[in-house]
Amino acid sequence: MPPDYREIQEGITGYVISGAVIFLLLATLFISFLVLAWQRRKKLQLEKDQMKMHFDQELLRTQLEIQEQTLKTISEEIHDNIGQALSLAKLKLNTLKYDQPDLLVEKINDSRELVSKAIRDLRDLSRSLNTDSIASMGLVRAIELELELFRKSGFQTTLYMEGEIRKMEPQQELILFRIVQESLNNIIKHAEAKTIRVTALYTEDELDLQVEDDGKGAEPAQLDMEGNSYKSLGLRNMSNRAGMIGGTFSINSVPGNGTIIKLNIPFNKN
Amino acid sequence: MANYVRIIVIDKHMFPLPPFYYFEIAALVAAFFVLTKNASRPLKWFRYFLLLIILVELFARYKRKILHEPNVWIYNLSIPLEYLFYAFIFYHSVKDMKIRKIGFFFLICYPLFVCINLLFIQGMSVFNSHSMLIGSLSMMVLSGLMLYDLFIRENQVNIVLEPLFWIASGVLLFNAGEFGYYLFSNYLINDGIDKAATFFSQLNSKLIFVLYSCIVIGFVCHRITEKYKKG
Repeated sequence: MPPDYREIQEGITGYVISGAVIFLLLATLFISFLVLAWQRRKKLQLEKDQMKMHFDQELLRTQLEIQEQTLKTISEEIHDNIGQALSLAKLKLNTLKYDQPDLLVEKINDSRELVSKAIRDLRDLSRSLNTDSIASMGLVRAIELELELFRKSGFQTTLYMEGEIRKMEPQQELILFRIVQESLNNIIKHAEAKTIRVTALYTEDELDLQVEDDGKGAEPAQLDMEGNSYKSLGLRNMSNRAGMIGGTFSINSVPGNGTIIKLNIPFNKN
Repeated sequence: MANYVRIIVIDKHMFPLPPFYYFEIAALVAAFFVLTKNASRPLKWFRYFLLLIILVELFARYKRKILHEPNVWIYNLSIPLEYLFYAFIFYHSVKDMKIRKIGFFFLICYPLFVCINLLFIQGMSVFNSHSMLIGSLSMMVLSGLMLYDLFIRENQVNIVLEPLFWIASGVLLFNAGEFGYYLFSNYLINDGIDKAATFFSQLNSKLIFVLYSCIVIGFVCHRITEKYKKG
């Protein structure tokens, strides 16, 4: 075989082999890259779906808790106020003595007053909160109504608001309301407080919510942290829920000096 | 050139068939027995396509080995047909409209080019390297786009269990390997550079193994996903 022919042959063979190897390698790399990228994207998608599912579950739980709280409030209201007023009115009407006209008029008037009070209480009760009404009336109004119920129970309540109210997503307002409601319930159960103050500060970028009482303060053990979360289940729930909507939760309490619960919700993160 | 001729003269019997025939037959058997009745239309078309390919290959071998007649014209017609079949499968299965348009463009233009090349440029009796080169390059592009289309689909459960993933991968790998040969095929054929031709022959049989293995895996994946859907 002449040397020049052999050179040509080996040169072309080299090109064919190199071309085949390079193209095969590129094709293999392309396929591998696609599979790996797809798997990575799928993993992220799965995580996102799981987070969404967790959020939906938590939202459902929040709605159920609000409904439960509403039923409890209605039941207490019926038992403590409306039921009492109507029983008393019935008692007065049962003991009417027609031979004593002055007493008769007085008892009828008293009964009328009691029935009117029962009607008023019922009307108030009909405005009791449910998850839909929170969405329709907005967070601040919902907190205001909740504080009215507390005022009836003997607490001194104040709602202080600053800035222009910004409408948030209904799910966010629901979760925020539930955190405030839970904070207020804790005040009733544990704080032995007389006054409650809720502050809502709206700025361009965020909402600062604060629930403050003048009670005995929380036990230091209740505020202990385990890693990034609270040991107390109630506080952990509130903190997790704030985190779910992109916010932060903190609690400051000094024994004998009341408790302050702070929530910060940035608007742009939502 | 002398070695090349000698190989052909020695191997003058129809049987035994070279190993790659058996991969093609295996793929045909899989198309009939692995694919379920719920298989999509493109997958079902493989039954007839693979049957045709095997018949063409056997006929080409018969012409060469038994009748001692040139068979290059058979490949000049059948290989573009294969490209068109895969392009049609991809065109039918792809969801992205832009990629679909590219597939449509190929389906219209490529047969025209093949006809022009056959009739006016390279002719029927010469290996149509231009058609093969364009076809092979287009197959790489189209199978790559098919894979990309599968990648961007939102509701994709598992890309590796998707039959089209395997079919497109097989077509991509096969043509990536063949492309280098087609690029230099004019030199190889005209100058009789047998070393490269021998290498190509070996590479080709391996690539056929890869292609038909991928197709069979695709059929099996169809079976698995069908079972999963029923379960």
